[in-house]
Amino acid sequence: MPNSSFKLEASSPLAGFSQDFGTVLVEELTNKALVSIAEPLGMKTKLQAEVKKHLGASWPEIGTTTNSPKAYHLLGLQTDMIFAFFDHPGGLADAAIKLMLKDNAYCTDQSDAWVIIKVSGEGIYAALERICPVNLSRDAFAVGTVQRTSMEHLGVIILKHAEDSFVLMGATSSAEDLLHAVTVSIKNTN
Amino acid sequence: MIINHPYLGPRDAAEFVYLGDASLLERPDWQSEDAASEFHDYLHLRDNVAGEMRELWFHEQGDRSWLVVTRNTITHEVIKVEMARDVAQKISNGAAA
Repeated sequence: MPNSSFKLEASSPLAGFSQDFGTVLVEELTNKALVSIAEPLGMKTKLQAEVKKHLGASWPEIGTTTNSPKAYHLLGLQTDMIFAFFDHPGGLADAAIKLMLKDNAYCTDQSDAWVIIKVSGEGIYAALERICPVNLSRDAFAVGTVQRTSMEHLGVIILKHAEDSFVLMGATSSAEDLLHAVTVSIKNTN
Repeated sequence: MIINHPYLGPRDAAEFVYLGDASLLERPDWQSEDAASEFHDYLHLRDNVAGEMRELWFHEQGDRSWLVVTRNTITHEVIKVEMARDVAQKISNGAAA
């Protein structure tokens, strides 16, 4: 059908899951983009200056985040690489960043590889401490902290973006498993 | 077992993958006359230490960094944790690991 009028629309890994468990609200966040920005060898200073200039936020230290007026959240996850996390309606998310950073960075659109789940409410600490080896207590894990860790057997990035509210990012391929691990823990601690 | 990561602080050993003896960082010179013998030792010989040992650990479920962990293999006490890239840099600068 060369002149097909079909238009394909991508669906999110959890089909927009949202459920209120009483003390915890679980929602899949859709229309979000994750773009990795990695440093070419020996270009750390140059890249950090370009990121500051174009994205409007400084390069985050590992475990921390920085926010820009342009609504880019930069997540410091490892040496030599950060993630840009931002609202994006669909399509290639790295194009705009590549245009800004040019050859000063390796940018990769990872949006399709990640499921993004927001969990919020006062009961979330009790639920997550059973499946997450990182200390998430208010004293140890402040707002703006981000870590890569594992929950059950699944690799997860955990970001505390507001008081009593976390964003969990896991692999799209095991999105249902991560949701299951989180919701079962919430039910067990409710 | 808790590994005190230089950047991230105390992290559960379950997040890490164990590789083995940190002497793997000291790769022999392939141009030396006895390279074949040195590579044989490098690849196949390990000390089976009962006590303090330097090991390579990979933080796979974390920041993907390689660490050199000095650990007591009898008590599992973690004595020292360094970034492997720093240790490797020291070796290439001519310092003893």
